[in-house]
Amino acid sequence: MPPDPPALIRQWLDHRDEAAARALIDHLYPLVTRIVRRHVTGRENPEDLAQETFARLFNQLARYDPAQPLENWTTRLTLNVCRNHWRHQSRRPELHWEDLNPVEQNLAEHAWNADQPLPSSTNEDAHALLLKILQTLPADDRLVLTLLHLDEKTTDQIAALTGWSRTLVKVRAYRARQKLRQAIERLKP
Amino acid sequence: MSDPESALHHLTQAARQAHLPGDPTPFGFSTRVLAQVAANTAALLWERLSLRSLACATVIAAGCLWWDLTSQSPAEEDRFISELSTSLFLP
Repeated sequence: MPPDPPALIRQWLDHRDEAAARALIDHLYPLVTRIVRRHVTGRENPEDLAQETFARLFNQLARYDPAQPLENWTTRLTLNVCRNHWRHQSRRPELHWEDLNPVEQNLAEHAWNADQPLPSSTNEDAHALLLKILQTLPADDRLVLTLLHLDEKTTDQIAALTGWSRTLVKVRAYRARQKLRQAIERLKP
Repeated sequence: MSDPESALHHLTQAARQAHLPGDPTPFGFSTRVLAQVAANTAALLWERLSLRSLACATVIAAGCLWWDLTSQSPAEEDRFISELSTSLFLP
């Protein structure tokens, strides 16, 4: 039987029912980990961030409006946890060709020289390399670029997820993209 | 040789297709989350209690100050002022 999130939330809020809380965690865990893994590298402890997201979710559950989809609310919460994590994390100063490992160098060289899309066998490595490059950018720039380029969200969707105005999203995306282009330029073989 | 825009395009295109599995909840994860929630709730309770205590202490201190200022009789105040002013002119 599929879980009924509103009923589980009610049970947790009214009776602090741990079984309901566990069922809610099981229901939302795939969504949360997918977002976290999309946005942070393996070295940034994705499981710790998922745990932090759920802890915050339960602390703020009383403020959740059942009129809006739980998945949207959870996505927003997860993104906020990621953004706070980036803010408190020391940023890598700059990334140069020499800082890349042989796999990444090979991939970067391929991306610079390719006329065709990269082979599908390199997808996971490309994702890891892109996150590594994004780590050199400020938290808000990293968030807007990930949402725009990796999650393929529209300006309106990003505005709804971050609480920024549409104009701010556009301006931030433009500036962040310039910084990303400079970061890519530094990786030229 | 392509430009940075094209390199970025190739890289993001491949990264978007990366397989990111939504795993089932690992063993012990829910227990850790619920323990953290309990710890956060206790910390929040202490924080609220401390803030209320601070507010109460401020009100009591203000009350004491007010009581102290108003409880002095005018005569006592006058005597103090006259003593002070006399002592100023003493050789």
